[in-house]
Amino acid sequence: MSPRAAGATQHELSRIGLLATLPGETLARLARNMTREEIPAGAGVVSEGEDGDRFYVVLSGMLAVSQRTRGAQSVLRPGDYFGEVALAMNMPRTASVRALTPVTVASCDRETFDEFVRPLFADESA
Amino acid sequence: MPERVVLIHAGIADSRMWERQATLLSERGYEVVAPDLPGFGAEPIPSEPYSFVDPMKNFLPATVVGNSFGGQVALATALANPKTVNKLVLIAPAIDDHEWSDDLRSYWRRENELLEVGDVNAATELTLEVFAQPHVRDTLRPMQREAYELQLAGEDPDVMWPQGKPIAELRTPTLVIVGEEDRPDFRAIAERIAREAPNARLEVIAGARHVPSLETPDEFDRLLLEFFEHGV
Repeated sequence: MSPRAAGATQHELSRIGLLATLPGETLARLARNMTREEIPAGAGVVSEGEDGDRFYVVLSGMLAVSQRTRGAQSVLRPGDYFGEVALAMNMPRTASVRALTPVTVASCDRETFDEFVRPLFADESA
Repeated sequence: MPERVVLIHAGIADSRMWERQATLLSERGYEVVAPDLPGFGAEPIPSEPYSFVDPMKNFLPATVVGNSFGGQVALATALANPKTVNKLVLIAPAIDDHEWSDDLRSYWRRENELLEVGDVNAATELTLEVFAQPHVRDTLRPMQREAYELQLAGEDPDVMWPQGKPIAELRTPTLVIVGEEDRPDFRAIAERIAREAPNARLEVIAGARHVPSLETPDEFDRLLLEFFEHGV
């Protein structure tokens, strides 16, 4: 496993729009708590209706978001994020996300999400 | 079940070249898969003998689309899997029994010389100049440069291809696309496939060179969608 496989870097996370406002030191701590994952083209990452316990940011590649009842919804690119609804609302996954191309994501568990990411949504709706 | 579309990139690019079409097709309900071939994008060259064609079986049944070297892989995939490749789109494909012109051979010789001395930047610029319209070179440059770096870093194991079949055996409904400004070799290959395959149709795109999905995307997308919806 290469060193890059272990986690995300602060620099990579600074390119995620949602996280861009976090101070450098906070971003560095979040990066240390995130896990990097390579996903092959065509593979599913989250499935609609399943329990979800991780939040994801897209570092490279493209993913498709779809819902059973509404079909294709949107395409995610580097800088985008997903998986926040199930964690924030404590509900099953509301959509499925599948890799269109080879993809690199970084993800974190609920505890890290609650500490670093959830407050950003509070700011957004305020 | 949504219809699956496999997009196979050119040998001067990687899966990122399909960003526009992957988005367009996904939004229209197709299940898109755009892999990187070994030695491109996120895929290192394996240390053991490998195949570009065999891994495509994992994505079938599907419509298969390939550009340039990816077109050669797509054609070989369709000939090897006639029951599970539903439709085929070959964009400026290469083909194994083509008699390449002296012009192309001299380009490959120069490309090899540059790579042998490790001048990846010069090899990249040479390749872009030969194959791509100026306005898409910035898009392709990182893909080609990273592919060269990946290929130079890897070993050089044998590549296995399925047993060749004559083009006349290709019964899959096939759209062949070539740029009007592409090299004569690729225009000749496109014309030959359209002539010899019983269910193939040729479309020549004005203003495009070797990567029409990037160079003339509006016309390319129109032809692609029309073929997906109405066939040959």
